[in-house]
Amino acid sequence: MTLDPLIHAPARLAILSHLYVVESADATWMLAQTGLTWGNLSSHMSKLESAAYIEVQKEFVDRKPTTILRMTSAGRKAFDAYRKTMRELLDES
Amino acid sequence: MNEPLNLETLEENAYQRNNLNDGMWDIIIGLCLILWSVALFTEYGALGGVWFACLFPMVAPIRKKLMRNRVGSAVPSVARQKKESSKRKAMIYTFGFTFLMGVAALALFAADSGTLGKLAEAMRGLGSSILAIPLILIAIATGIAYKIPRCFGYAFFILASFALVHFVDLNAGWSHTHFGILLSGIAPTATGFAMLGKFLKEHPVLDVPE
Repeated sequence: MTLDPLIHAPARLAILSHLYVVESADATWMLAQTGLTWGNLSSHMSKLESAAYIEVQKEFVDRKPTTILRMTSAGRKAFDAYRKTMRELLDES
Repeated sequence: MNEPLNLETLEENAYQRNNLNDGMWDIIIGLCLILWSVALFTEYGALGGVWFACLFPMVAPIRKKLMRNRVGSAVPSVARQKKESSKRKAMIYTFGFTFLMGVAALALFAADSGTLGKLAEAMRGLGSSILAIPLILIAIATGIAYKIPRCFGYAFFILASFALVHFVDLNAGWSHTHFGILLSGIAPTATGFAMLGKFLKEHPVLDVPE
């Protein structure tokens, strides 16, 4: 049983947990929910996007450029697997 | 990042923060009640409903303008959307039920003999205080449906306001209904403004270089 190191980092775990419970969210929402700085969020977003766990899209909302984050189905699967492993590990101890 | 890791709680907290914790609805509902009482005072009671119709649609654009760059926005999950839709239905049923209760009460007022006559007499004795019942029902239903404990406080405040007006004898029957409604509107308005101030302080404008 090994935990996915990409999800296990506290900041990325927070990002994925929040994205898991919504369809999509903008970057401002994510910053407000997680308390991360923009630089921090941006760097973790890139890592999660490279692993295809999330999709990052630039859209115009009310004529303003907005960064929209969405969890992919691969991301959901990985997150579910992470939760299952974590539960099993905690139950064993 | 100190949010609980129970996903259900996390989702509920996120939803509440973006939709119910800024005090906006409290202010609007409180203002509607106050303006309704003013309308009654100026003998244009029927205009009371106009305030609700005019002010309710203003919440979404004001919130968008004020909150978007503070707390952002998210598209809720399908489960949440279904939940919200059933809450709206529950609220519509509550409004429908209170409306039917009002119609039944009006019909009852006309009764002047038998058991119904006695009940009507007792209801007439309550005067305008009877209006507290639908307001309390709506406050309690909102509190249960949207998990907002302060709504129970509002229900109690409505009860206290109408009781005060009834027992202090400020009113003489239906002509001074506005006192009870005015007092009932003060609690949500004041609470709403306090919450809005706190919310704006706790959620500064976020700088997102997009």
